Amino acid sequence: MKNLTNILKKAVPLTLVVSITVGVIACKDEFLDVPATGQLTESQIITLPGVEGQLIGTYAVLDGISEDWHGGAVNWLWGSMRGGDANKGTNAGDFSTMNPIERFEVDPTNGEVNQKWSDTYEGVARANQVLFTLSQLEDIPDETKNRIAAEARFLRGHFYFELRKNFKMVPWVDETSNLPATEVDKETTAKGDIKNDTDVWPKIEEDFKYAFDNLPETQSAAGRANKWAAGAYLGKAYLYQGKFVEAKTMFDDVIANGVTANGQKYGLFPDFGALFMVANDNSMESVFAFQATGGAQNVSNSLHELAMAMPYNTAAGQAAPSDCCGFFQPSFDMAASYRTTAQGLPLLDGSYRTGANELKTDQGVLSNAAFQPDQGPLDPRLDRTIGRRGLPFLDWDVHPGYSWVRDQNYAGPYTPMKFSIRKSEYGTRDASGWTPGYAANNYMIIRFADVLLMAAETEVEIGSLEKAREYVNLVRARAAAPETFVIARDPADQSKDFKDADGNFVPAANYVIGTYTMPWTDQATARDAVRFERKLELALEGHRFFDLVRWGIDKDVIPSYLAYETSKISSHFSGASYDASKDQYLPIPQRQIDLQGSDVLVQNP
Amino acid sequence: MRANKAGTNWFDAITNPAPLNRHMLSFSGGNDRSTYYLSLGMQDQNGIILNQNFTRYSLRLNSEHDVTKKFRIGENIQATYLSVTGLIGGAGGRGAAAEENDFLSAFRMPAIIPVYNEFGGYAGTQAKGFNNPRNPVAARERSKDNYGFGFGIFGNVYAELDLLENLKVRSSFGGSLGLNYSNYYNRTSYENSENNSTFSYGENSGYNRNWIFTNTAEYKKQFGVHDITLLGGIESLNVGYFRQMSGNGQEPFSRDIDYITLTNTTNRVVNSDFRRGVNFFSVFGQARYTYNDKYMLNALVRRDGSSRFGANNRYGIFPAVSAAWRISDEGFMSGVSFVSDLKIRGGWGQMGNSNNVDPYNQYSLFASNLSQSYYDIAGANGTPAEGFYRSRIGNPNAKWETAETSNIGFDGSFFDGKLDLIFDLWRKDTKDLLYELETPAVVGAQAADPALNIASIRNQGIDLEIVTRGNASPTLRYEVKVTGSFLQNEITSIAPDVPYFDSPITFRGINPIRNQVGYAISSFYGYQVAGLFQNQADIDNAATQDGVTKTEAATADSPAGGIGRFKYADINGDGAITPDDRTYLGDPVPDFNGGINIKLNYKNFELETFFQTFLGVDIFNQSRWFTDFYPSFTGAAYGRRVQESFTFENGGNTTPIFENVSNFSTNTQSNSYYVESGNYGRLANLQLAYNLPEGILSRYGMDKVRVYLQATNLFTITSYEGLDPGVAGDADTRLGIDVGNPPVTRGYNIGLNIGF
Repeated sequence: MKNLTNILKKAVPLTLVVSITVGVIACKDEFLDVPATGQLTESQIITLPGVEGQLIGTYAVLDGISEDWHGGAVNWLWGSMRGGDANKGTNAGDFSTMNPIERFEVDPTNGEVNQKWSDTYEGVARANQVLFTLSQLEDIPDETKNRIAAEARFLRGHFYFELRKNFKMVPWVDETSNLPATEVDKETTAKGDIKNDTDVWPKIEEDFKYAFDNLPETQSAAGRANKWAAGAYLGKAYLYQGKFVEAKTMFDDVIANGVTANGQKYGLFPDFGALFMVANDNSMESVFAFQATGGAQNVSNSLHELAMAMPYNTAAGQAAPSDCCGFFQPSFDMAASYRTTAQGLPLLDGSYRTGANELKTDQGVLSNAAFQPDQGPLDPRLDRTIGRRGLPFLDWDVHPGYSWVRDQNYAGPYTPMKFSIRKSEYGTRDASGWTPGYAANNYMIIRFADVLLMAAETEVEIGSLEKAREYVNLVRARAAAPETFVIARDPADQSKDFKDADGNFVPAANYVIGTYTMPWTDQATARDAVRFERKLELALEGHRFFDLVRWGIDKDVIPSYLAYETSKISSHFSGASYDASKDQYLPIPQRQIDLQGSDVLVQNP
Repeated sequence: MRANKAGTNWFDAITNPAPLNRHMLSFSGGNDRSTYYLSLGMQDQNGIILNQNFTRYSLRLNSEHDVTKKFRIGENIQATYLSVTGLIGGAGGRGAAAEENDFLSAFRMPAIIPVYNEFGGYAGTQAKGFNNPRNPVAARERSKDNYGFGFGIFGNVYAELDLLENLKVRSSFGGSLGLNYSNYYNRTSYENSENNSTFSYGENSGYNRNWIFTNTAEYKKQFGVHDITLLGGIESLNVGYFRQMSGNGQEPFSRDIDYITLTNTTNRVVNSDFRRGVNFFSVFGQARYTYNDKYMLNALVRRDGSSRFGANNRYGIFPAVSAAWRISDEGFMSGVSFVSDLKIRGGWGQMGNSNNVDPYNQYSLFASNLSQSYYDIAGANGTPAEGFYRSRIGNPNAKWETAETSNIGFDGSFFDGKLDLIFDLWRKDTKDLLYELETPAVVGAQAADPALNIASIRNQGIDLEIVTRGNASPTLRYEVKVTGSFLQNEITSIAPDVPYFDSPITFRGINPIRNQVGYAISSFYGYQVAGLFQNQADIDNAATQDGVTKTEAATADSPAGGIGRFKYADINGDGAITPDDRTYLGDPVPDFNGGINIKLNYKNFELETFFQTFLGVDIFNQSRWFTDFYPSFTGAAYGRRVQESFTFENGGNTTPIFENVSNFSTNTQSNSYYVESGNYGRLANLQLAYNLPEGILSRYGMDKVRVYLQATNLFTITSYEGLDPGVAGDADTRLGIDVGNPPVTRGYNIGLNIGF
């Protein structure tokens, strides 16, 4: 024991030495330098692959941030719902922050409004970060540098376009103004002088012009913006400002020379019914699209903004794509608009809402009660856009009406169809989500039919009415192709298409559609025809409200829409009214005004 | 599905009495040179909700050995296996109150729906008009195979040397290592109005560790009536190191749990993460001086460094002083015989805090993330391309947050110890409070916001403790302890020009929390309900309000109406209800909490009770959204309050009219209808114990045998209408929100302690 004590006595100074040494090491500052893990520092990102990755990250915000429902380009809430294509759907309490938006009672504290603002500015910030990083990079080929800059500016143009059409006066932030560089000092920068006192249209034009001048015609990947996408978007920006001359020049160029990023000459995809299928993503009609995929095992890469816009209460995957949640139900007005005359032309005078013209609906009819669908003449696009009782819902079951609708009394009898998942493509969706509706099909932000109809508008205003008619007829002719007609199911076997005794397929409804054969001579009539065609062709694609506002007819059309819908589903819209002076644009989120100061961000009236 | 006409009691269906089994065995011993302590423990406790379990096994070993008279070594080691399954609520259960969970489902489920259908499968809300809660029994049973455990070992070894007669040096090295594993089965459902259609399976595992190395020297000396202690030390530590990996996949060929592994699933996703943790380095010194046990002075200063801060502001220096005066020892007090001991004390000090700062706060960072920055640029509907986004804006200038505390009080003992009084008046001002102020969206909302030293908070209060004890008779001893704390919490500044910020957290679109200078943190904010509209004249005479229509504004398509809906107070009196009319509706910080602890000893019996109370506290009862409003999901509202709804026949001025309308005047806004008083009193503990007489014990060689019966949470006195008023929260920024607060459980325990 004595020995042990001696050893320990000797060991004691050693212990002290060790502890003092460690103490000294600990004094060194390196001990308190702990680098970040699992993330990249600025020095790692300021490289060519780094900036290419940031560009991908900018595209990734086209559908908003992560899984946000209403922050992206689909605009079903902001464009289609407010424009009268559809109502919120589902039931009164579900996602009730949307209710004041469709009733035009939204206040600046509404969270959905802040989401649209924040998600869109995230896109702006990422585009700015690409441009900022690019400015730090040396020794990369001009061609590459210009292409990256042009893509970033195209995307920034897109995000600002979204902001301009939703919020009107918005602060212009670019790569030079207020990026937090390596340091942040919120008191001086973030809250700084980014006022919303200047119209951003000229800046949006500049971005698209730069993109048009610098982007290649074809790209390495189908999802990238190319020269012609920029041209179409620039034309659209002119059109929104009423600059018809510039718009026409642009559209003429795009129509004559435009190709998709993967090199196909722009054209109308022959089959309207199949245009929105996964298999036909990036067709000749796709000018610029959000590229959805089901292959990520992460629903934010799918068409998640519409994941809840599916039939309700079904055998998901067997009878219908999803059993949830019944949002985005097409309106009575929208469905009724597809009534045609015996010549197959739309009823431009609004008479589609009255008397025998009015589309027969199964409102108030239970699924186990008999119902015969409308027998009158209809535009076949109706049944490629809107699911209704008695007709096959894509390649799923025949729509049973009431039982697939969450609360018919609240939101009417219709189900959105345009972007719904097909049975044949069920496996392409992203199955990792809580509901099956996360589809893989793209959302086309601009498609060629849209370009043709915008061009038709410019022709009506400053060009040739006959040229406008030609464009509209191109769109109508495609819709009139037999592929558009939904085929009835065989009464003997609901899983099969119905053939008559001669072996011909039997259409599911009385489809009558024709082109405008008489020359257009009256500008006002031509204008009505072009606008109505836009409504029919682009229904549920997020454009309608913005179109109404830029045409200046929102103050008449929307109150009339609200009155018509109130007569059908009174609890939904009763008491709602539209005041163009305050409802044309969304309020600037109160939260952002609080953060930036009311002297910097001035509220819309 | 057949209706259950007898009615299903869903709360009963998801709960059952839960046994608790706790055993502990400890040994201690030693000789004049060595001591040891060893204990083994186990606890097996089921939750009251189906398929919830808490199991723990632990081993503890302490020993100390005198190597020489002046040199000691020792260690403390504890190893624990802990398995918690079926837990409700994030953050270890603390987040439960604010979450939509199975408790909430239970009282949202209509009673007419049976638990099972006639074929033995689950029944649920798939039939229309029954709202959308998921069958909570099914949810619990489907998660029964989920499993997880953690194994942890922590402890320290130390050496202590009496270097000089009055100088002692001590070196201690401690650390911990934790391992964890869990798996889960996410099963498909069919009975609900919103179902899960994909079967998925996932596993997680990882480890974490930390270490701490402390060296101190202590000098103690007494010169006559002077007593001096000096202490100095250095300490370095690392905390928060971990590595973690997780994977999940879908649709295995067979759903037999004996078959399922990640390998056997499709669409697999793998994630992993690691952190190096945070390093701290501190130097500290303390001096204590006592004069004749009458005057006491204590001074402390420490310099703390943390890797959470950038190189310029890494260190903070924090002094503290305190003094005490035992006034009862003064000559002039000698005549005051009822005072046994009276000490007046006061202090002032600063403490640094860095815990609410992300370890990477100083860095500007970029990240790649499937959800945030990947994009299918190829348009091939395959795996998307990797992209980057700014994930964090760095603030290298952040510095330590400082809490400055000052207090004054006294400790008194009177009537020979029959009465003790402790009184404290205190204030804590937190300055340079590190707060992650939201970046304006124009700068980019997705990057994590850095903590800035911008806000300040004041907490102040009075703490009081009164103890009285004595013998009521030679065999009956009593002790009564009453404690009370008054607390006031107030935000004193946020940032220049930022008068308030709303919490980003919303509950079904309702955003009830605002933090504003001059108010308590996480205060409830919204419209003040001034009653219900009783008739059309009431609407016509009130301020203009969305969701109701005045006669003058009525049109053919939108007739006047809205009777029975909320009438909000026009706070600013401008004749219209706008966001400017929102006001403070209450706050979740209790103004007072107190307790009474009574102990009675009669011969070998002991009776002990503890009653506690919280007053001046409000709860935002968000569960009312689900239970009181029909359109919250069509067919919702099965609460008792619905029976008191406004009707045209009977009127009513509390619960709004029962109708299928969801708008500004019904269920979409934060308003005072949701705010309830959270005051309560609760008998937290009642325990009766019996100690076997020594005579019997010595016969069997035992020191102590104690048998006890215990009841916990026997009753609660409250007017709160939710399940339980004890609504906490998992963060300061969301306190007192009750979405699905699990109730406290009443417990009955029988215990036996034996000592040898």
